[in-house]
Amino acid sequence: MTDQRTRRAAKEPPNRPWSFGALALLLILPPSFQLSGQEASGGEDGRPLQIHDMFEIKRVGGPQVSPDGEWVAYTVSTSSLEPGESGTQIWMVPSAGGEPIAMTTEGYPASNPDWSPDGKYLSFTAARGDSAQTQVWVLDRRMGEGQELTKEKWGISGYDWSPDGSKLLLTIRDPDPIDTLPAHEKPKATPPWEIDRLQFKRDRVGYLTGNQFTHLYVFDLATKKTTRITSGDFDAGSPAWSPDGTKVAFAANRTENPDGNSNTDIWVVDATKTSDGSDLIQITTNPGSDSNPVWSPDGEWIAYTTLDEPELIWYEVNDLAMARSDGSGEVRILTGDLDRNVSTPRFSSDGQHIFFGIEDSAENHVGRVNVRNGRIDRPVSGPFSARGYDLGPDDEVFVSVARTDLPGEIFTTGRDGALTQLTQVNEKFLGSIKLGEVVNATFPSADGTEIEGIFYLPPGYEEGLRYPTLLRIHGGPVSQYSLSFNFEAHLFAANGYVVVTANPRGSSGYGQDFSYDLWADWGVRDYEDVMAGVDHAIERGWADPDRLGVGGWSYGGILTDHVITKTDRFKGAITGASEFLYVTNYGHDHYQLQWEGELGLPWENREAWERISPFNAVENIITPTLVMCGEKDWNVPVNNSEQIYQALRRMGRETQLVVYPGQGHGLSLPYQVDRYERYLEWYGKYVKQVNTPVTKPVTAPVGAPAGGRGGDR
Amino acid sequence: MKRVMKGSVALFMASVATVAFVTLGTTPAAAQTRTMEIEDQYRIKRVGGAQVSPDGEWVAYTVSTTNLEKDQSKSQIWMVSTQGGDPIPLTMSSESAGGPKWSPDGKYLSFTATRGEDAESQVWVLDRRGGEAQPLTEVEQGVGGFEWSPDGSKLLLTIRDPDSTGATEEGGQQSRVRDPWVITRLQTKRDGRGYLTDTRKTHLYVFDVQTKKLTQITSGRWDEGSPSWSPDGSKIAFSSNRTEDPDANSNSDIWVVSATNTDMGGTLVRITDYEGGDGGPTWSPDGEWIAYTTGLNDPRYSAFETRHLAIRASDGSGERRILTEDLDRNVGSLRFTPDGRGVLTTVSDEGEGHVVRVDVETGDVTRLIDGEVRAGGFSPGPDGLLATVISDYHTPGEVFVQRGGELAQLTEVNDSPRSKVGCSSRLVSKKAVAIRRF
Repeated sequence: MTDQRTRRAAKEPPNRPWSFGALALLLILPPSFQLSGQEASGGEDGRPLQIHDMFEIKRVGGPQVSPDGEWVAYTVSTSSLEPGESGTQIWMVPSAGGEPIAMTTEGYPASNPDWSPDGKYLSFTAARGDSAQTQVWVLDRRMGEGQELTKEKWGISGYDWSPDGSKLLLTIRDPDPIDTLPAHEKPKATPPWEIDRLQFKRDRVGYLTGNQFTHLYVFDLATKKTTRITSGDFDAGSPAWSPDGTKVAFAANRTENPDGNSNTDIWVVDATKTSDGSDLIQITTNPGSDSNPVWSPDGEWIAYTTLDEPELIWYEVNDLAMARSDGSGEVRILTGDLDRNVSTPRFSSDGQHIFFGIEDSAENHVGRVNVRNGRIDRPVSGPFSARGYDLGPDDEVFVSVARTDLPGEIFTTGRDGALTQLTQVNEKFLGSIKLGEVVNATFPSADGTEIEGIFYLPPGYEEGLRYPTLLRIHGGPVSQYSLSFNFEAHLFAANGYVVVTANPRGSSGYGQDFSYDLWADWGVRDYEDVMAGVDHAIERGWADPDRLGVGGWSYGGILTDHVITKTDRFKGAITGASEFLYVTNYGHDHYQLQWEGELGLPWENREAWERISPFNAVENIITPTLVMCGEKDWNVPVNNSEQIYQALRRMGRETQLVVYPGQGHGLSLPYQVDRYERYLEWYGKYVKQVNTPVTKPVTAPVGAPAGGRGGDR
Repeated sequence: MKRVMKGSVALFMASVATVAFVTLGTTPAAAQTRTMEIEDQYRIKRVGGAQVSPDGEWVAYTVSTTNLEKDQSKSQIWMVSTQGGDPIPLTMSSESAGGPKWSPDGKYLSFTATRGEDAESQVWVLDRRGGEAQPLTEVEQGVGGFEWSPDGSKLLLTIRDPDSTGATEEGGQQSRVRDPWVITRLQTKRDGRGYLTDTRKTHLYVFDVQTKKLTQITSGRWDEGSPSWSPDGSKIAFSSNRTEDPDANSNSDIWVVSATNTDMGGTLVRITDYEGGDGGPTWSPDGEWIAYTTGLNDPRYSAFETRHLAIRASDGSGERRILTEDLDRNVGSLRFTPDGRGVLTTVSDEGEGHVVRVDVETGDVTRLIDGEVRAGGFSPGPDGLLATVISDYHTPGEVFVQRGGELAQLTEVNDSPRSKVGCSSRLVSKKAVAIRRF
């Protein structure tokens, strides 16, 4: 997970703090997204899942259809504790089904496959050879191994073939000024950080001191010359060629103080020369974030995703929109009634539809809107998570689909619309594993709101027996548990637990009101929602009410903190990387813009900060609690975990603090293994209570558990 | 002894050839822009290993380059259409690869490469449908050489015994004081290898491509070399010096062993009995005959002895028949023509290197590539196609293909203006080359 994120960060331009993308980075995603791998339910005689199976599961991604529609290229990623054995390999499979072919060599990581428009080359990015900078490589479809196409000194972070195949659009980040110095001029010791930006730090990036920006360049294949096409103090992102290859649309926040807002707009630049910024055509003027531009086949329109209420920060549901590509300002919102997050727009070949991804009620679909009448249908939908798609020449969809019993595999709708599976990358492994039953159910929360949950039963579950049960809470808060392969939940189930995962208020996938309900009121209705999930598991006869555990990472840890200050129903808790006393994070975590939006400034609106701080009810906690964090987490910093531990230890509660050396918000693979081991040990001792006498709190709680809405039932 | 001796002679010859190249190249030629300088020796790319695909459409070959700064040589595999056109690089430029061979069905191009840290040489395959090479073998001590079985289902591998001293085991050597060399062999040393202290031998193995199962088919205290599949894939001919003390003589013989034996070569059929060296066996298309190289006179002539072409029945019966007695020139590697009536080989003749066909019945020699050139090796394709690497006084080797009596130059690897090599990339005088069909 960390590994994956780190690698991706190395390839893509680092997110600027105000961008929408940055928010996603801060919010740890449910584990299901991180280990999306593959196929069919486990064999009846299989063994239960083990921690090290996380290295057995391969993850597929990025389907790319060849221009003739005959082949689908995709990536297969593996993780390993052995140095150099984690990596991504590119494969292709006939789009009509058949034997897959490895297109890159194991041990030579390659990513971002794409086809040249004439289909003669399969391109990818890789850092190989002497320079070890990421470059574009090409595989000649006639035969042979990858050959380096670009030789950019500082490497590239993205590329896109021009429609006629004669050029590549490259995304290149300015080098660190120190790297540009000759060896004898490089400082021997790290110079002090000199900071004057409003947003001055970022987890896993460090202090934001320099003026490094990401810009767009055009590489001519015939002359091997590279021309810079954007310049200025801004980052240019998600570029897209116009159909005639003369212009490029991109997203950039070009406001005076980009650290202080999320106002990314769509711009169009001439693809043939270096722009000084004065000749850019501004396509959108919305004060929120507009991004992911794509051109209609006739070049008249640019479709994109838009957030038009930036004051709602991450609670806003975005829309698909289209604007005139000439900058006349005409804008049409296409998904105004959908009320679900959309992503990755793409015009159909005739320009009559725009395809896009939809996040909806624990599922992910591929939708399609008719640009004339606004009618929306869903070519790919069902009880699964379909993410990352490409279109064939006849608009057939190729997409990575995961289910609760299947890590992601490449599927296609074909021309007849029936979804068929093309890859089986985890078939053998899954055949050796026995997974428990997974139940997708809804249940009412305290105020009657329907909440959706995904419940994992242990393999070999016997009706009539109640099992120790873990409530696991997702990060975000604005994200969702989805019907995909949740390794962590399956691992707990394999160890004899019923696992409750729910999408409480604040989650995405259920519309803006549902998400916005959490606004400045954390740990209240979302607390009731997840507790309703636990009660549902008890009502169904699965969960043993006397053996309950709770836990999560990031927002999952934050809500865990609220849960254990409000109820003593849980016998054990694990809170990972949680915020605890919010005011202490101002200027220390990297959320200055978001906190100000939601809570106001702490010296002006302190009450809002204190109201959502579980620290203020810390004495209510009697649940034995394992507290964990990365030493260098600047997303949800370790000082919070230290404060929880310090208070619990001072009060004599059962607790332990585990700090992961050098780690940020995500952990490296060896620490992920360690974390799973500690999860199982702590829950085993305090929740399952196997081989261990039940440990009662050393000190009785001071006062009653916090009451209030949805308190202890 | 003979086998080893041959190796050392070849090495010696190779260095002469290189020097001769550069010296001759200093003669001004039409295509040159300047005279040669020392660095040109390292700028000149060397072409080798030309192999025609079974369908006759492509020639795969190697291009070797030297990086003087890094004191490093690398070899990259390319292919070019036999009709001409832009050559296509087949292996990545950052990794060395050698010995390209097409699978008999033409679906794969295989080669040997040592890739990755602490890796040993393995057989890799490129899928003709596309994609980068994938490792085919995983032999711990590495693969010396390989040959596809005629039906493409198996590989014959030559593999050296593992190092029994454990010197390569983890945590070994680095900090250790070096052990003394303890020598018991008659042949005590070899240039480039050092003292010959170990008793590791090179044996033959059959590798099943589908099941990846590896079966050792020869064993013992001898080395085996130059293996060749019988046309039906049931037997292997090879050369091996099986005398009491192979270090004391050069008496290698040709042997045949079952390709499916399970007793590691316990039963061999001996094909030759000449007291000098017999080597390089190849089978006639009907499997009845084995052609090989042999000496004519007295094994004591050793390195001075001319290598002749002989044939003998593949069951070991009868006598050897030497076909090149009148030619009296060294022959190289051997291949029967598809009709079995001729044997193709190279001959070294008065400073030139020719490709010839020797008639099996009459011993008549037809020079297929003749003249003031050196043809280094050859690869026959369908319909009389013949690929070879040709050089002359001014031109380092380039890939040529002969089809129906026409010779076409397919590569110009030393044409790069950037390299500014002081030599020609095209044969200066094509008239110097005589071409005949076979």
